[in-house]
Amino acid sequence: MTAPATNYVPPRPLSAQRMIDALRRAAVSHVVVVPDTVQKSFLSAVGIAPDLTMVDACTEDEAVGINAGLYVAGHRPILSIQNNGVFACLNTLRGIALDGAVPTVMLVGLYGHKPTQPPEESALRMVRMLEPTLATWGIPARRLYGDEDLAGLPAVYDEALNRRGPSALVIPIPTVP
Amino acid sequence: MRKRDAIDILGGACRRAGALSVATMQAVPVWHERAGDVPLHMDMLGCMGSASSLGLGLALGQPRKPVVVVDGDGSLMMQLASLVTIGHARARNLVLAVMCNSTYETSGNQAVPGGETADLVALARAAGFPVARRIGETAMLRRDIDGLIASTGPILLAIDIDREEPATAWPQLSMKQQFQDVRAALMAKPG
Repeated sequence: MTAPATNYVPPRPLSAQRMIDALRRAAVSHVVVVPDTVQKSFLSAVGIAPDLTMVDACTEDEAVGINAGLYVAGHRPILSIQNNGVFACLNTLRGIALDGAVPTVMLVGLYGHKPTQPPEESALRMVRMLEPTLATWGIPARRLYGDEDLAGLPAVYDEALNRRGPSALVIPIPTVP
Repeated sequence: MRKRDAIDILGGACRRAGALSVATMQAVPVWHERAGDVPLHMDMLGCMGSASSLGLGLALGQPRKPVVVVDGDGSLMMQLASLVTIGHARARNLVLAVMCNSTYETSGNQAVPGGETADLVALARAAGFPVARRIGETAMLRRDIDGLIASTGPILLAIDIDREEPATAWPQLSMKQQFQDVRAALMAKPG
């Protein structure tokens, strides 16, 4: 068993409005969504943001394909999905985002995470295995543990754009209005 | 009808309409043989089922350009819910042309589940496509295709094609390069 991390700093909830502001700084045009409980407040804010177009998809596979089409069409989309959704669409991430070299930036809610415990120590595979799964495929992941981490979102977006590949921003606990 | 006849007609219509096009799986080699000069074309390979979603993103991102996706019945079945997503998005400029022969040609013509029982036209209508039609004759496709592409979509065409042996010769393609080339062309001339 892994010893508990002693220097672990629990996450603080992200403000939905600060997230929207960060998307604006990154010049994001569309948010392609498969609903995620962790991002509930954020999704409500996207729905009323006049300068962001929300695109609903039934599955994460579709979301990755729609993102690619919007990118080829000249836009700057981002995905909002859940950890379980990443697991569900791995082949499409491999086929389109990695092999097709399509910038695919994903806001990923860490459904099931207990904030008092580092994700790598979670008893739940859906929590514990997200970052190792992404790492196996060479997909960079960054944790958003507080509003101050949102300052890095535009740089993450531009890095994915320049590298032409996928990137994940992990949201560990529910966002707040 | 033969697949190559259907693709001759679809390729010609894309040229006339200045459409964006996407082909997948066994339509790919035939498209490149018969319609390879159509600009603004992309293939979707190694990711069965994703052509319709790629097409939806293109259609939403370039609403003034028609987008024609040449899909297969087996491929569409792998992401069948994309019909619902497309219907919900009301992508007016999207035409989903599904080559229907009830088999997975690539892997040796095994039967597609529902190939004899599922009704793609009814499914598309139920998903919110204002136009969904089965087309069994070459002459009908040739006669109607320009009008269909100009109509308000999303549109699903279930095109009955013959069962054929899978292609053995494939063009040398790079999806990665196609994506970048089409993006560069679209950004140079915003729609």
